[in-house]
Amino acid sequence: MSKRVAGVYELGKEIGAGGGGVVYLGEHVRLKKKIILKADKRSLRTKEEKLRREVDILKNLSHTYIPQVYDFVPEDGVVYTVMDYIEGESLDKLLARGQLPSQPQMIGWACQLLEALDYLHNQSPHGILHGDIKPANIMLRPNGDVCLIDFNIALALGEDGAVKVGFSRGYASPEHYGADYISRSKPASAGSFFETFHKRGTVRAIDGSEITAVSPAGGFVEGTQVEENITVESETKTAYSMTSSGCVGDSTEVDSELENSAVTLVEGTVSCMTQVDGDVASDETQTEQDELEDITLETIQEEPEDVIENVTQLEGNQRNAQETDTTCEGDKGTDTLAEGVRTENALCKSSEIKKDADKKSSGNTKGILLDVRSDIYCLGATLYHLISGQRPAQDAREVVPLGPDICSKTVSEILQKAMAPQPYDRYQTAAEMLEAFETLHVRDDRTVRHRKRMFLTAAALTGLFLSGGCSTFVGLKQLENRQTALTLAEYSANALAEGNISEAVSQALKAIPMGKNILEAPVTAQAQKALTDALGVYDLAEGFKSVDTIELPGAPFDIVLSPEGTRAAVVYAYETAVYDLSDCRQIARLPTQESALSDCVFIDETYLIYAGNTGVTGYDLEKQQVMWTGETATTLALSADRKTVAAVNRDEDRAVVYNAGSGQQITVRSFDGQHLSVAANDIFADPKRDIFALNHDGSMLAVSFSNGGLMVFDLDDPEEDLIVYDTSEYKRFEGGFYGKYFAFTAQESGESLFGILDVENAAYIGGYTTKDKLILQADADGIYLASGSLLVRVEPETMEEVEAAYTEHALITSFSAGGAHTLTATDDNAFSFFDSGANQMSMETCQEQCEFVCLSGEYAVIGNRNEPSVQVMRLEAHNETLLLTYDARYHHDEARISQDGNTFMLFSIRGFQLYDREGKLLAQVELPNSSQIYDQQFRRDEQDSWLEVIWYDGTVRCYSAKDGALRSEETKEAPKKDLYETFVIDQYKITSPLHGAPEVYDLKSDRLVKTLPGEDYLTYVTQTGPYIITEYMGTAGGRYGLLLDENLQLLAKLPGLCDVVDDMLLFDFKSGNLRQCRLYSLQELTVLGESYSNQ
Amino acid sequence: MWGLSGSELLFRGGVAVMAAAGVLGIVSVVVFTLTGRTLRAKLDQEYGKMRGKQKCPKE
Repeated sequence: MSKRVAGVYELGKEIGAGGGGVVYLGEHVRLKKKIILKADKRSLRTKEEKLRREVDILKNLSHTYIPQVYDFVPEDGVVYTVMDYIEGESLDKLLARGQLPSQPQMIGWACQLLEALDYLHNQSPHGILHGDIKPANIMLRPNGDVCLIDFNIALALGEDGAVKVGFSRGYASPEHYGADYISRSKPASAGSFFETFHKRGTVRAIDGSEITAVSPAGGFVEGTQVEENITVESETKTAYSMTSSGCVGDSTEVDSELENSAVTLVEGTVSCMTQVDGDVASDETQTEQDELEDITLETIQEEPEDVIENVTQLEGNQRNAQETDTTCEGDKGTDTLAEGVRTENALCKSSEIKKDADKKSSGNTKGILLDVRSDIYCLGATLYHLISGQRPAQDAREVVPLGPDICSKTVSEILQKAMAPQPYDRYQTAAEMLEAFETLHVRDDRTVRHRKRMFLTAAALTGLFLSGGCSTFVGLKQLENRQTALTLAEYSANALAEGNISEAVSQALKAIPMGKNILEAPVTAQAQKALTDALGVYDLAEGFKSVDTIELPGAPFDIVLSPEGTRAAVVYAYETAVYDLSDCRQIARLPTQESALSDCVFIDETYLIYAGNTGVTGYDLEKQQVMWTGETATTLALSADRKTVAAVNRDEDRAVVYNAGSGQQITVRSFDGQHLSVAANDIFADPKRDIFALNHDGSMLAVSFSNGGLMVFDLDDPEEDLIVYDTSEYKRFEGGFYGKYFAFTAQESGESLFGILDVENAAYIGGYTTKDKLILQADADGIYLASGSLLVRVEPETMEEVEAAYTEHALITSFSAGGAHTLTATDDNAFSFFDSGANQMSMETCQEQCEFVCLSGEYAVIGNRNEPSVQVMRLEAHNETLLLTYDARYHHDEARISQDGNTFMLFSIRGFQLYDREGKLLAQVELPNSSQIYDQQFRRDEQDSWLEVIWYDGTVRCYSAKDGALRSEETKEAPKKDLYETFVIDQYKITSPLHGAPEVYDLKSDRLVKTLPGEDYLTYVTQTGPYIITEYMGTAGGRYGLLLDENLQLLAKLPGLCDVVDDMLLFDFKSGNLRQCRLYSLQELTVLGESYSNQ
Repeated sequence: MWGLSGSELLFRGGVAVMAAAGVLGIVSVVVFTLTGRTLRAKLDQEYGKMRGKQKCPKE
């Protein structure tokens, strides 16, 4: 019957025995569970308390990959340790069968073992070393997991400093072999170390018997065998780590001066216990074992208890030294060494191990300690063996790195690092090595490359996306700003059309970006054109230009200009406002009769008479005071000599005549019961439907009446009154005096009558009736009659009509004539200025029909009854740009300046005139056979300039621009008759057919870029810097140019352009003058605009 | 260029670049996902399934 221990454990067969004790397979009787019972060999000679403390530590260990210790039972003088039975087989069995694990399997085992090691190394207080990791001490469980057994060696060390270190060659770290072993340069030194031990006879082999997994606390497994197990039992604490460090961290350093003594100490104190598994031991190892066995056994027999007892005392170095002294039988070297031995905790914690300390220790060959890195080496060697099937070389420096045919490079590197000869080159902790295995995937070169590619791709794409986003944002902002600029340019054009130049300039300036940031859109051609138009820098023609728009207190009933045009009086309800047109400043507001019939007349620039609310009033604008007041009146008439004024109040039948200067009443003339046409509510009356006019000297007064009567009163002699119509059907009259002539129009529905009377001779000069509406202005400036779109000046002596203005398709609705210019308003909401030759100078449009067009001197005022504002225009002569004045009667199509700038040639197919800069006519030539002229080209080179005339028969004649002389004549091939011209400039080729729009082609690609306006004929194309200037001949005969940017966007219209020389533009105006200006850059325009705005 | 102003080029070009970056991003994600899976399979075959630290019981 089998033996029972403690009544519950049934002792089974012995499955192993060694230096630590005997191992039995057992069973828990009550639980019916297989257990391992280890009879500790030390129990025979070691105090029970010491063993108990050892097992207590083991009992507290609990980890998946290490066996669990349950109990500690003393029985019959034998201490039994009860622990888990681990099912499976040790890995050395697999190796023996040549059954190598796959790499993933090995890595999995490595992780499990490292977890177990990490657990052991981190046990309180100083951790536990295994010290003898090898395939034989690793159990492979049926579920594929492994279990680390036999870590009792470390426990023994940790107990009290006594050493029971087992190591296996090939798996053991260099520290196991000792400091000298590490420090030697040749691998053979390890062997020599052991040889030294043996030969000196100081190492005692405790046990040379073959054991299987002998370990006091390791897992004991049936059938487990160890290839080689060498246990060195040291009895004192010496410089050798394997013999002096009882626990992980209780390290001992030896002073350098004790180096030689260390050997002596070892010789005298170390005893080795060799336990060899005779099955697999190598020959070399076996030999050493054999040598060691005898010595150890002999030594142990001498003083077994003394050795252990003396070794286990760690209370103090002195004490150790003393004990060692007695043990070593008078070996004096021990004393010396003991004095130099110090314990320190610096190496207790593996994580606190410093490489410097290691290096120092390495340099001091006596300070080699076992620590966690020794376990790491053992594990690395074990894994090396498992994956390669080759047992690692005993000397760490001879370990051959595993090649790619055996394992992956990364795994090989891990193993290589774990098996580094120097501890500080290895993983410093099991956790560190575990992390290396666990992060194999992420540290693999392919993973690193893959991640790097992903990162670079993500970075590149992110950068690309952000770049695109920035570009989109900038582009969008620029487009928004561009749209804003276009809108502002349109506002500017509208303001200009309304005559509000300052607003036009202001809006145009806003449309031009300041160039301060990238979000601003590039300058648009529309904005530049708006600014150019607003400033009018290229409009050099003499004409009326808008000055300003005057905002009125109310919509006007009437507008009157002073004789020289510098003042304007605007009558509205119920005031008369007077403005100085030079600065559009209001200078007076005068209370007026509450009637739309209220009148106002200027005596001169500073004196006016108006229908004041208290009566006819003379007012001095300079003194700002009323000079005189007459009777209440609404309608006024001023004699041409401006000395007499007549007044009538609404529908009263009498007129009062005053001295305009003094206000003295000259006479009162009765209408004998007749009165002017006045509506019951004269607030909305038409003030222009009746004649109430004085002649030149104020002696005659013409008045039309509501009954259709028309009379010319002789204010001096009533007997001389003229009755034109006593009564008639005519409802509306217009008329006035021009010298001795009285001209009038009378209109009824569908018929108009025009007539002229000689009032001195009381003779009817002439007249006619027409179906058209007639508009008449008769005053001291002449008799002007508008009918339809024609305005004529009527010469009363001859009844000859001289054209004063022609508005083509629009009907004239009102006009102001006299002096050098004529202003007309037409039914198309436009108004036009004409010069004395009836040439249209300019035409502008209004939002509504212009009912008031007043022209006097250099000023013109335009307004209508519906808007409380008037537009003020002023004649601009541009004298500073005048280059040449010539005979305007000479008809020509083109004008050119010579190469040297000294002469000007005006030419057409009929001939040419040549002028010098002083305006002197140098030559006038008529071209022969002009009807057969095909083309004319004015040509310039660096030295000369000339007019080239080409006839259809191929004749080419050149006339000098210096003196007009014929310089050459030759006959060439007859030109084609299609008049197809091609112009080539820097970037474009422009074709200009006689009929059809010019087309612009890219010079490089010959791609059609744009079609230019085709209403007029393109005659020249010139490139000046970034600008392209096209010259056109209008179908009506006028010439103009267009200033384009390099994208063919219109920047400015150049009216009258006739020549371009470098950046100078030459303008020809039919009024008989050539003018010049230069091209303005955008910056110059901006400066001009800002200057204008600041004025 | 192409009848477009600089601002339009910036805007449209930027949108195109963003779209291209987005498409390339999607393609890259697909490609890297596939290559990542392939690589992971290779690594799993070579090293075994990756052990998360949290999956490794300490005790």
